[in-house]
Amino acid sequence: MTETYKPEWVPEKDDDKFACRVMYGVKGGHEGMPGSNVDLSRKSAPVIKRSKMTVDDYVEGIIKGDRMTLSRAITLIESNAAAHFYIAQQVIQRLLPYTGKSTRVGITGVPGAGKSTFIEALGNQLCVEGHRVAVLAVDPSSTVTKGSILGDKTRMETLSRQKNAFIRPSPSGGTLGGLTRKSRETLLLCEAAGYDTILVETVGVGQSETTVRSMVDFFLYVVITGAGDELQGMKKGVMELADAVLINKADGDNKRRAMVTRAEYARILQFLRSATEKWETRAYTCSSVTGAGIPELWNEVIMKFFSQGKENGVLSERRKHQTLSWVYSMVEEHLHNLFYRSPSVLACKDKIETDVVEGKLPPTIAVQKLIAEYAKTEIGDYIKETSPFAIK
Amino acid sequence: MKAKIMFLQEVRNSVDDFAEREGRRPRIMLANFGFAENNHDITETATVLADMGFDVDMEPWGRTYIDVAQDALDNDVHVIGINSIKGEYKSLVVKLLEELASYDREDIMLVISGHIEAHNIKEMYELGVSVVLVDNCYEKFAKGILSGLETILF
Ligand SMILES: Nc1nc2c(ncn2[C@@H]2O[C@H](COP(=O)(O)OP(=O)(O)OP(=O)(O)O)[C@@H](O)[C@H]2O)c(=O)[nH]1
Ligand SMILES: [Mg+2]
Repeated sequence: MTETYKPEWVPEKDDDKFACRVMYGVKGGHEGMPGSNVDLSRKSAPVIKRSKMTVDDYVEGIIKGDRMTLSRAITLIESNAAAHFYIAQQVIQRLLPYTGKSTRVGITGVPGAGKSTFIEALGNQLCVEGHRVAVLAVDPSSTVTKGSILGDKTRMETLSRQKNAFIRPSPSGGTLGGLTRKSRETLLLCEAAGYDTILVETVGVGQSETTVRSMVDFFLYVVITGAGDELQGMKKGVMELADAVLINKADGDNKRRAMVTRAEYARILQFLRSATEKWETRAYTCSSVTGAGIPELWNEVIMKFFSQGKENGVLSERRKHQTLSWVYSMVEEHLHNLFYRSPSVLACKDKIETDVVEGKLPPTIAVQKLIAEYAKTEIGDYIKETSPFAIK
Repeated sequence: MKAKIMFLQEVRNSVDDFAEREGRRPRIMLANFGFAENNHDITETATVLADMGFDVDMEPWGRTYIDVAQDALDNDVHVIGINSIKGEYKSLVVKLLEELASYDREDIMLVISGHIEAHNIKEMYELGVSVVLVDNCYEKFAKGILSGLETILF
């Protein structure tokens, strides 16, 4: 008899109605495979155009909690195209009244600290308790020339299957800027779609942790053992932004070391200024694999932070400040675009760069020249194309 | 080697041009329906595509077609690449396309980025797959995707 099996890609609940069993294929490599003569341009698949959506479509869909609309609206927000920007801003404006009610938590830490695994564990717990959880993963790694590899979802296997969870990894989109505005507006869209808990993951490199800190209520810094001497200088900056330091991977042989690390962090935290008024930043341990320590962290620390912060007004103050920083981040984005897309600047940029690199032009003079060129820019059409804030 | 780099530059330029008009880079999700053992090197595929300027979403191992369709919608990717599969492609391709159609999202392109027998390629196109990675020729693969997206999006 030929051996057969049920392919993994068949969902379990499909078991009965799905009759497909598959025979094992021939084992072996693919040497001698002809193929270069296959015509790649042939397409028998009919071409289906992507559907167009209006501002109303976006707004209504999101208020209804429609996931696909939410996801397409996020794309719109993230887009660097001016045409998308106008629609996106109208959508945001109309949705603002539906935002602001969620618990916003940021999670940062070095690559591999276990942020995604932690979110998988916490997110599942929250979904079970009946929450609707949105996870935004901001990846600052993409550069001008390269795209990014977005891998956080690979660690959120169960959470991504939860009906009440929405996970969206976002590339930062190179140098065009606007990361602050885009992540913030994405968070607002999720709130309008009815997600009551928003978890934002970002790698603690470059500017991204400051960006995320400026849009969340509670900021969690995930670390691992073996930090030792490095604890000094380098991480101090992030620690000053954090509302809790979490030593992850406190399991198995590592548990004892995690306790030691926790004590080290606790000692250093005593000397740092707290990120949040009337709140003491402390160190905790957990294991994202076994789940130990996570319910306690959420219920006894994070929830306490929120109830206390609401009572003493610290949270509403923070959100007011954050709204203002949103405004100024947009001003910065505008100025950034104005300069880098100015036709006069673009026309002479290469030459000036070459001169600087070859040592013919001192950097300070180069700046003066660039600014002078920028000042010559005709404030005309290019503004409309580059910086939609200028409109109206 | 040099020719290869020039090729890469050419693809990069097309990707940049695409990104300029679309407002974001072409985004592809590499889906794994099988498990690590019998499969094409997913890290290689992801790295090459990212080098060319694509944003690449990685999926957990052993997804069902329902999971993959949902993830593709949530991440709002342009393209789903079937990267690994245990067994044959045919029934999976059919199921996945049906699932996308049920959401009215037939604009999401389906491509095959994993190992496939040459004699099965023709059938893939007939089923509705848009591009197949043949002989690890990523340039052709990327160009195929870009020209497909051109008709779908613009
Ligand atoms: N033993 C143990 N391993 C863990 C724990 N949490 C995460 N890991 C492992 O650590 C590795 C990295 O985990 P991720 O969740 O991807 O880490 P991350 O911080 O999200 O990494 P980036 O997104 O790349 O910055 C994986 O192999 C996890 O299985 C834990 O609590 N205990
Ligand atoms: Mg991660």
